[in-house]
Amino acid sequence: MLEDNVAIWEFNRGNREVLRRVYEKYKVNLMTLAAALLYDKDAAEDVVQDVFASFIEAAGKFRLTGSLKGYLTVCVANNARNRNKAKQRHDSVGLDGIEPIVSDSKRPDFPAMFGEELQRLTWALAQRPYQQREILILHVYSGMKFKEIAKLSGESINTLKGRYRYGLDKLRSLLNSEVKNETG
Amino acid sequence: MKPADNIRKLIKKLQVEPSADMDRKVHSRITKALEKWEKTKSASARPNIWRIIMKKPITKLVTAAAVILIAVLGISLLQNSATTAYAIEQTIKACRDARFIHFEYFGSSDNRMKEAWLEYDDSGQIKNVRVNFYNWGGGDDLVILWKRGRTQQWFKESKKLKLFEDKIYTDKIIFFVHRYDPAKAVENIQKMEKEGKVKFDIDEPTNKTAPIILTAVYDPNTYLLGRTMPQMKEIFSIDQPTKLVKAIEIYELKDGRYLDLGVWKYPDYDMAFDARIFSLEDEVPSDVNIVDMMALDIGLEQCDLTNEQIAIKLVREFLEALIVKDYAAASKLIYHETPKEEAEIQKDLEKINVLRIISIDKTFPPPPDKSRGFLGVSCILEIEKDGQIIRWEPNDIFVSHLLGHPNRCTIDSFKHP
Repeated sequence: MLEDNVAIWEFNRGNREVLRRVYEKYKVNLMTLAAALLYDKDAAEDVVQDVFASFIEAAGKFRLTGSLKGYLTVCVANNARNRNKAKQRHDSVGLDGIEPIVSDSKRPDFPAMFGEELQRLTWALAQRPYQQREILILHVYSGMKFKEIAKLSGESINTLKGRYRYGLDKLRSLLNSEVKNETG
Repeated sequence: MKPADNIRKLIKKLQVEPSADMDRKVHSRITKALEKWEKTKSASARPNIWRIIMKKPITKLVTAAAVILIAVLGISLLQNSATTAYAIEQTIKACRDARFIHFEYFGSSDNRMKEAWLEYDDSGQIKNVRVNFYNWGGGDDLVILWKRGRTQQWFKESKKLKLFEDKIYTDKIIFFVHRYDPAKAVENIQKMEKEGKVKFDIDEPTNKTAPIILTAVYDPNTYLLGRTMPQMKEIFSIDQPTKLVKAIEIYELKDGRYLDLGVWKYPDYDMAFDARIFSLEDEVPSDVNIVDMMALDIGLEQCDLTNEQIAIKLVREFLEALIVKDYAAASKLIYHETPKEEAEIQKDLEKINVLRIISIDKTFPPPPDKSRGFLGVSCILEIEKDGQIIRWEPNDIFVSHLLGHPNRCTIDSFKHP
């Protein structure tokens, strides 16, 4: 916590050397978040690079308050969301919105990086609509509160809580059905 | 059925490493930003204490006097230097290569203790400084961590962490390093002796197990940077076989005799520190109150005014605000760090009824034990107290430069009549 506060202070003073420390500290966390949201490692790398590029350019130009991790998480989530919207627009032109947003067959490299159990989870996550995936990942993986996510997405806390419960249920049934298919 | 908790645990286990190519791209971007930043950075970032000292007219006078004195004393002084130079040069050489220096101060008349760690980089520039103060007044132990111009001050009891970048403060840190890094301390004595500010004497005992004793006597007001000080004396104990400084005793001249203040001890040389010594991450509690000194908006800008002029202007504006009962404006001129402290000051000021300023025209140096204010301001006021109109001469209004704002001043505090 203190390390981040000192980093923010140094960042606000224009010390860009601190950016290396920040990148090294949060790169895995942010990459995981972006990859889980987009189900695409290349796109995730683009998102994290974009976020850091903006962060580097902004050094000393604005004042950062609060949590550094929270700030970067929100930046990644916003960037991923914009990319997803752009992709939806692109896909809807070509595919008439018939296909799901993502398909596990398209990204063999991404789930292959995990062990079997996590592979099933990433597959199941990929089956859920982006908004459900977002609330599950931001709340569970990034530890963001519903209030913070509501601020980010512009939706009510109750809507988000409902979506979270529904998403978790759906994820559970997807995982269980897959277990049944494999065993039965 | 997979319970929700298990799914949550599974989500938390997700981990995607960025590719080496991405790492390279981001670091390359940071490097470019750093290069751009370096180009725009002021070339005069490094402070030069001796330049500051030498710029002062009094220094020039003293230096001129010292040159004349040396010329007059001629051969006898040269003979004296010749007999003492040997030990001094050896000590400088022995201590100079240490990259890590750890030393401790023990106060003689109280429980005060300081512990300091210095680290130099490969090019011999000071990189990190940490000083721990124990039992240092007010029961608030303090840790100062300085890293290439940026300072963290952690007040343990009050759970406050101040962050600032301040050239004047950095000058003081560099001065501290020059004063107590043994190699620099001895070089400093040589230098100040040439400037006529210090006289020193070396006692080299024939018994080779006994320490060499170097005694240096400092002229008044030369011992610490910007502080009113009496004549001071330091006694260096130098190990004969290694020529390393083992201790520096400090004395001040009071009522015609030297008063023992304390001793710096150098238990080890060039033993690499644990890197955590220069990070407060694991030590500072999570509920510490962080004060960004650079963000404070209090006091007045000094602009082109002299120290005396800004001190009087500041106090005058403060008193005038009190007269018109603008307590918000008055409290802005008194040092504080949080809105809560400002509210308390304002509430306190509301109890004072200043009617008019009779006179305000003199400044005076703060007493030696006053560590914050750089100038005191004397004034005579007419106030109303307990239904009576009386004259009041407050004698403890001190003005300070604000840390992190070298050109801004505040009033230290203001007490009730």
